[in-house]
Amino acid sequence: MRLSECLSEKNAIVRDGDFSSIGTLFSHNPQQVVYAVSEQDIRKIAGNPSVSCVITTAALSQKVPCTVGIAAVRDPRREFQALQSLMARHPEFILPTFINRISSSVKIHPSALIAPHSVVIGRDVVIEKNVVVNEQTIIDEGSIIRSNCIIGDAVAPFGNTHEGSLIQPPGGVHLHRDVDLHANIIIRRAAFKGYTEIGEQTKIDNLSTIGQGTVIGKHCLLCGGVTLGDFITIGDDGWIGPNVYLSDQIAIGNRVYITIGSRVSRDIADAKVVKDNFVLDRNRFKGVIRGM
Amino acid sequence: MILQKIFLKLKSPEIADSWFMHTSVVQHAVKICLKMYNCIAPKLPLCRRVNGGYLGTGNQIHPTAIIDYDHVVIGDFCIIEKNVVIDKNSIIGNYVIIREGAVIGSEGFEFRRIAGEIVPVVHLGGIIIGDNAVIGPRVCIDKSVLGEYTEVGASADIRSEVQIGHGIKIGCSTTILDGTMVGGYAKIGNQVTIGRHCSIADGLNLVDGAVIPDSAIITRDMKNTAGNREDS
Repeated sequence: MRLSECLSEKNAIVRDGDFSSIGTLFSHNPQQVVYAVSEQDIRKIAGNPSVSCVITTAALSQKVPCTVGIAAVRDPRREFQALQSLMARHPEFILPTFINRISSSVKIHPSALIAPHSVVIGRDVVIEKNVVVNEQTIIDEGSIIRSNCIIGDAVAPFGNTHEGSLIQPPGGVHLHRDVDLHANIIIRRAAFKGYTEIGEQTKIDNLSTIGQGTVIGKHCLLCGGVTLGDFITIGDDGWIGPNVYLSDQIAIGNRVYITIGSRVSRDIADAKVVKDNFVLDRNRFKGVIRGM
Repeated sequence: MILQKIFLKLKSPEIADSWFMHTSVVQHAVKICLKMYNCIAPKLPLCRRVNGGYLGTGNQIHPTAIIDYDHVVIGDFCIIEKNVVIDKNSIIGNYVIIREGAVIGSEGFEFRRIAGEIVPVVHLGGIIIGDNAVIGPRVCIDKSVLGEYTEVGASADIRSEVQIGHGIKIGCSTTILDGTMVGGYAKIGNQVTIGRHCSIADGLNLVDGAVIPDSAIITRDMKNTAGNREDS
């Protein structure tokens, strides 16, 4: 898609460019369009090779690298959200709809609500009471979804659109084989042709929330009340304790053990034990305490 | 009771971490035994604790509440609100209030990593909720692993989005505030107050009258209430 085709302010284009996805300054979607409101953001654009177009203000447009397309508008964030709303309705960026494919051996409780289209449910899946399964959900064989879960909860991927209207993100949710979701879990749909994925044999306890676009590996155990942010990657064989919060856009390695009540805000390498309860970097936090 | 003791003994670190348990032959044998147990145990009389349900008088049960009436005992003058799910083997006392979206008696979170596979352990126990208890919205109370009950004492006040793990014993007049996660097999005494968004690890003992502040993470037993309570 061309930048000049989709912006409401036609005379805003400084340099036209192509894009095929939407993202933030931290994400690495191919050929993504981002927005920048400060000089710090402009410096991040230079370090992120996936950015192909940027929406920014007229004053900052002079400092943007010459390889990316630029649109100079009055309110970049608002224009970015309007673009997101437009992309959500464009056939190039949304997953195709199809007729439901539900196996005959599935046990669905009468009070569960399954979307009328675009749902695939494999063999021997059990769906219990009051579960809501929204569109673009794929559930592989042997999975169990217990009471009051919501699969495919819809949120606007990059903040709500202007005038308060909520768009439906066109991504989906993919639960692999033998996933076990306990009561009151919410799993959000990914943004724009992506899937929120839960790996094979992963088990998630009550009251957890899985953010959009998060990918969880195989054989993980997530205890009660875990809150995962958006666009997180978690490796295989992990254990995440009760009441853990993970920030947006971080990568957790394989065989990682995160203890009870931790707050994790940065990447974690393979086979680490995380005991921090600081959202801040620990050394920086100590420095702040010493400086007081 | 004997089964519970054997089960906890097998879970203890000196047996679970011994070299003998890590040999591949033992691992595969344990995996097959556990899968057989999961298939056979629900058919044994062990789990049929509540046979033939009972519904008392003066209850206000919303039509959207889903209750397994054949295996649930509900006392008199209870209020059960919208979208509440009450599974089998639950015993609920008199004057209990259960708010919207609470799930009582769902399967607990007990899994074993054996020979590169995660094997669930089937739960056969039940739940007892004492008289005058209040269970808040979206609270999850899991049933116990073996023939035991998860117990919530009389006049307990459990606020919204609290998780009560399997096999927990909560005393009388205990208050647990919003967003707290209580791990399995914890024993919480009488008149305990637990703040918001606390995390309580598995198998702990909290003495009577303990007060735990908001966002606390408790990983050791509390033997006295000193330092937590002004009047102690």
